[in-house]
Amino acid sequence: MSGIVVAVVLVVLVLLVIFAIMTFNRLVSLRNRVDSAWAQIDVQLKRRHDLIPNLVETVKGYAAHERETLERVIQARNLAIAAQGPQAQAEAENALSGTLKSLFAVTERYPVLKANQNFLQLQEELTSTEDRIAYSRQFFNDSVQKLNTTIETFPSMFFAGAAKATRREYFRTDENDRSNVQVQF
Amino acid sequence: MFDQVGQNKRRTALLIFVFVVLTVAVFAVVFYEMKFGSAAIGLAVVAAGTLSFISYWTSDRIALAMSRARPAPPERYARLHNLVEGLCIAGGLPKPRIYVIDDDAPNAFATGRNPKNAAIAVTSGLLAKMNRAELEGVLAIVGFVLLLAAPLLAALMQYAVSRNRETLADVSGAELTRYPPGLISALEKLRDDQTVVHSHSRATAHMWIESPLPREKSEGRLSRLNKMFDTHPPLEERIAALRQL
Repeated sequence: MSGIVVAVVLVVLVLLVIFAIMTFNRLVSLRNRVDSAWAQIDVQLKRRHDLIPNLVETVKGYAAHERETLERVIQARNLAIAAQGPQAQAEAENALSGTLKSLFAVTERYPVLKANQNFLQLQEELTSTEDRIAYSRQFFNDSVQKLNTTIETFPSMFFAGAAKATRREYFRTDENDRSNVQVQF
Repeated sequence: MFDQVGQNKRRTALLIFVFVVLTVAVFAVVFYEMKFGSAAIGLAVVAAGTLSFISYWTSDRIALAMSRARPAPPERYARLHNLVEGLCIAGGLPKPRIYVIDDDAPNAFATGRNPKNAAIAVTSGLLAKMNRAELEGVLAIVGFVLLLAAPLLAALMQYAVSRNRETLADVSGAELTRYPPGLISALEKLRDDQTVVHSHSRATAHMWIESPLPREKSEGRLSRLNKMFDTHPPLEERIAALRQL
């Protein structure tokens, strides 16, 4: 009789240990996912910074009159590269998005430029990079949501400390940024 | 989606198990009838195992070859590659191989035994007829069909995977792009387009975003019987489901 009790207790203990290991591992992988998702945003931002000089050079060849718009783009890019900290970085990147929109609006006036293969290619690259920036932020927030939910819910909450998993902040844009970007000419 | 992948792997394992058991049974009967006696079981296990393994590892190549898909070079199909990469970032998934099928009918499918060995194929008609947002919507849905039904154990999938999968993929696609209007207008274009994929086949019909088989007039008693075997819910229903989001 006591043999059966011991066996049951042992099985329950083993199951508990397995469960603890799985929960711990899930927390660690969620934590790492959030970190890599954050790094992924930077990769996409850098990609955009790298594309801009090419774009400016191409546009300059056809629309030299738009010096002011071009300079604004370059300036916004340099500010974005120099920006430190998530908040300042997000602001600078949004400003850069605004100047790029203005630039593309201006190029509408130059049919020859719009027919340029190189320009079309750069435009496609930049549009898709903007998408990727947005998508990588979305993935970051999705990952943060999963991590936070796991940390706060029963019973995984008991393993959060051991897995060094802490609540993370979402990536947010300011209230101001939710209105459409002002296009300047 | 990340989590759906894990769930899907377990479901895949179950499907494969059922498939292997069924083929073992079939082979056992055949070998037994051929007077192999008690060795029939052993032979059946080997034969079924080999068959399952081959169909598991080559399913994507078979599907691509059957629809005459050719690899899409990134230089020529920049937009297509960029959109797929973007969606992969949103879903936290590796980028699949990308193929193009020369066909005027707008359609697309995804195949592969897991996300790492996945492939997406789109027709040239789809590329020509869809704008950027619509194409992105289609790719998001197609990617989801793949995640929800990863491996392609052809016959089994056709019956095991219900038509609900398409609607579920549509909704998950919207979760990925966060832009249902793009998906809705893409499905509307598919609905209004009457071109039929040339290299269609019932065996692969279930993996396309829209049924590649010719649409028949829905009249008479036979049509209801036909409808039972449809691989896709009517586009009208799928559009309605997306509008509710």
